[in-house]
Amino acid sequence: MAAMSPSQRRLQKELMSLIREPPPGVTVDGDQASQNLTLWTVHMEGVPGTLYEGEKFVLQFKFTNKYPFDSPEVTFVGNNIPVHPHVYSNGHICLSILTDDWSPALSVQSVCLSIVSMLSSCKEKKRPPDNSFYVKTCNKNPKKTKWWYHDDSV
Amino acid sequence: MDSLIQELLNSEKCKSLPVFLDRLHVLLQSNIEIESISSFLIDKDFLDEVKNLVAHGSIPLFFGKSLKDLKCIVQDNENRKHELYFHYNGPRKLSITSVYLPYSTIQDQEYNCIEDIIVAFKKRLSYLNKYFKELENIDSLCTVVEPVNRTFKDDYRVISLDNKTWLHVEVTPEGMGNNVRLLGKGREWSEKLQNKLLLWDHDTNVVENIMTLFDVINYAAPSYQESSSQKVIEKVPICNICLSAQLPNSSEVPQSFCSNSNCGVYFHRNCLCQWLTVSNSGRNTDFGIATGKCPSCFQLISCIGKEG
Repeated sequence: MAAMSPSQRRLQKELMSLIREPPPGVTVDGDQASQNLTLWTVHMEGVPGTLYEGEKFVLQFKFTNKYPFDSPEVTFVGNNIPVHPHVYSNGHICLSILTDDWSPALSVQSVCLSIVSMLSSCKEKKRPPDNSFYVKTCNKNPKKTKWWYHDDSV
Repeated sequence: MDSLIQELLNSEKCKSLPVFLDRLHVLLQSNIEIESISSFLIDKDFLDEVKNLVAHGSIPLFFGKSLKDLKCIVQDNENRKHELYFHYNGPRKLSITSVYLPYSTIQDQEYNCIEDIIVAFKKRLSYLNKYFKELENIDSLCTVVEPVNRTFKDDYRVISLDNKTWLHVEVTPEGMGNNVRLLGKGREWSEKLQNKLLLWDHDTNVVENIMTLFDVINYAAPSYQESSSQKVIEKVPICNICLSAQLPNSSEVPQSFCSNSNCGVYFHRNCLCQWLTVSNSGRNTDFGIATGKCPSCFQLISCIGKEG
């Protein structure tokens, strides 16, 4: 087998620790991820006591070979895209750590935790105000979007 | 050459096989340089010496990827075994290709026969006796974290003092401590080193000097055996960027670079430098120093840029 690249080595380590000690409500599809380390599917449950209690969501992570120097591409996929002021109906997420504020000290686990906390602190289920315009005009890759972060509180 | 033969094959001058073979013979003779053939062969003197050595059996001899690459194992005065790789360049022209010793001129010379090589090598080994002893002493008494797969070719050791301070020490071929410096940041260690480095006594061994330097009375004997080098690796902190202790092609140890003393996160200089370059939109280092925000606590962080 060819030697692993630094980015593969890091992803392998992250995958192992995420399978072993997943944050509450988060599960990674380990079989799929270990077959293709650059594409992960993460299942997420709405936290009890929040607006999303009982709902199930699926997140997709795409990594380039520059990871962790380059942020992962993270979107909601599947039938149930959470209705949230920072989540567009095509699954794109407006979250600064996924683009401008990315740091290599972050990880899949910390991104998942940020998304869980973003959902949990929501007070009213609604789409972003510019949803229909954005979904019609945006690039398929959310990282190509020049985000204007709506607010810092959520 | 090929085209000449092709021409001969296609020409109609050769009416019979004997005529063709005659011409081919002439062609081959005029084109082949005798020297190029003989350089593929090994001369008889050398072969005899190899045979003698093998028959005698006192020095184990091995062939490498070709009959001209050889390895032998030579014992020094204290029965340490040393590998010596050499190459046959031509009659009475042998050279040393590699040894697990610090560099010396024996590697640049040309030798007449295997015996000459072994004599020169043994002489070097006995010269280095104190060097070997010092390194063995350090390896057995201290928690050495670098180099990971060490041989006598590595003339330095990085010794763990606490979980964020290491001592780099080099040993000269004469067995003296050299270039002693701290890696990482433990202020109390650095004060001790500054106050006492002048007291370094070359008449006693390196480990004793280190012990006096840092007022360590009983140097914590490593709790691992030589074979379980895995344990040693675990003592090295993990780099927060690549999540490994060790980089594939480097013996670098993760260090704490952040200006925030409460941050406590370690990085390989290599990884940190790469990130600081990326986060500065590809702008390279200023005067060889890469600066930016710590990936973990976002305080100011800086490290020396890549060498060269």
